[in-house]
Amino acid sequence: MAASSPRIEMEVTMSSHEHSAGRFPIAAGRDERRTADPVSRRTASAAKRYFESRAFGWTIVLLALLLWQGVSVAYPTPQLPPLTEIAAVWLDQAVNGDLLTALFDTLRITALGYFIATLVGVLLGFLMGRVAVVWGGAEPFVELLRQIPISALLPLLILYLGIGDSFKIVIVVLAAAFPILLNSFAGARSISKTMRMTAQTFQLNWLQTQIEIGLPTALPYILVGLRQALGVTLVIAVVTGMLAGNSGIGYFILQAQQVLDVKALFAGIFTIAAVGYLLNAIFLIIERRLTRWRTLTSAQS
Amino acid sequence: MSIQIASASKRYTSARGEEVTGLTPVTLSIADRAFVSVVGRSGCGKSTLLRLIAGLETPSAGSIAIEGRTIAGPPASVRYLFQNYSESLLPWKTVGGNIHFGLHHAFRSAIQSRDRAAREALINEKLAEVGLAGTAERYPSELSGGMQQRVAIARALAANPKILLLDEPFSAVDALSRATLQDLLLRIWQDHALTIVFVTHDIDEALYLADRVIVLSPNGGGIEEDIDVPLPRPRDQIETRKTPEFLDLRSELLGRVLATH
Repeated sequence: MAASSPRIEMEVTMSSHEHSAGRFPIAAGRDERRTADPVSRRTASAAKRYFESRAFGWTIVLLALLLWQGVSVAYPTPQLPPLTEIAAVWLDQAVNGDLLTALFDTLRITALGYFIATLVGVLLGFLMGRVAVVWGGAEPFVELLRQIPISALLPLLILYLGIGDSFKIVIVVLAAAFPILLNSFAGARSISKTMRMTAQTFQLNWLQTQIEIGLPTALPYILVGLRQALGVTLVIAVVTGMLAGNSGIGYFILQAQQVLDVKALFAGIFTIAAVGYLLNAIFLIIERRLTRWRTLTSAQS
Repeated sequence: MSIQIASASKRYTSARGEEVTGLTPVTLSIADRAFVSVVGRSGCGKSTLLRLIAGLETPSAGSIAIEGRTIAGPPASVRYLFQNYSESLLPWKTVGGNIHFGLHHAFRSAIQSRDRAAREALINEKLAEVGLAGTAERYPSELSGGMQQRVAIARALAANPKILLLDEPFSAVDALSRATLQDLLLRIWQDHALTIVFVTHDIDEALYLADRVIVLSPNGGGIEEDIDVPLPRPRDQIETRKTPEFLDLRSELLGRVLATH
């Protein structure tokens, strides 16, 4: 019973649509009495669209910020400075202070680490999925390394590499490479037998098969791995700055904490949130472009 | 082109290490421009036989020859159409891109030197041939199952094959599309002077299309029957299927397939 009711509703809507199109002028009068008037129906559907979109979520963010501003002005405490003052500090730090330098330093580490992790993760993960020898040779090593928490490696890495860029980049690579590698592996394994035979019948050699069939098939998986890694990368890049205690936005926040500059602390935190959101948004646009074919579905089946 | 299968057999080693018979030795000669259907129960080795002819698998013993020349690997003159066409088309390429894939890999250097306009004209010509003119810019996922299989046919034709091997190609499409696709295949067979080996589990389909129907024994037992189909051409979905000759052959064939255990 429950399953059949939506279908009935749909049929009613469809028939009323036909009526309002003027095909049955006599029935139209009866129809108007039965359904709500079109204006309120349009408002209802606009409200539904709003509440089911991200605009609703952004409104909540805006309201939270307004509440923050209101509370901090009404009950001034050092722990919760007004947003306007945080914004002023942010601007001052960006123009006169170290905020942007620190940010670019963190982004540099992020970009380098992400690039290396992508190269290693995609190449090794994909080959592990396509070449039995590579899988046999690399799987135990990868699985062992994957189990080690990065924090356990920190003392050794500091001992070997010091606290410079190479230390930070290695940590970022270690954190970002595994999601990329595992997803690339899964993508490479997802090539169907039919697809492999198709490549054979068109006489593609090994390299052509990997480039023309393998990589495009694995691409959606690889992109999932890249997106997971992107989030991890920024977080780890910030943390490495704090650990090394010499540069980056993490260090900027640490410094602010040490001098109890709560406004600068918030300025740093908001910067990270905004940059992270922006990076993810850019990634989603690229992802959608690359896998446009996946969002199209048959109108007939 | 003619196909000669000389005592070709296939054995597999299962995951448990046991020897499994895919196909006991089969000897079969298929004439140039013949249309041969292969029928049999599931697991009788029809797909194995087809993959052997396609060079996708090597026979454990015996040999496969095309025009008298033993094959090693997939020959350029042979194209294969799969049952699960949606996994055979490249979903990230448009319909036109898929046809171009066929062209490109069949005539590597020749096609690359041609200009874009000539290439597009060739793609559109192939699409028109399978009744899909104007769909070059669409993606396979936007098309129905029957239309996707047409794209696969157009892509195979783009490679200018002499032999077409089809593995239950229409079993996943709806009955009405299937009838249209059968007639499309017969037209293409005539127009391109192809030799066709058509694997199906549908007796009616096998009879309607072919000059000759091979019945395989269950469990890879080899050839059970080899029946000529003297029905006149051109065949018609309604007229041919109601002739006494068709119905007699159908009963005979059905009886033999059902009698195999």
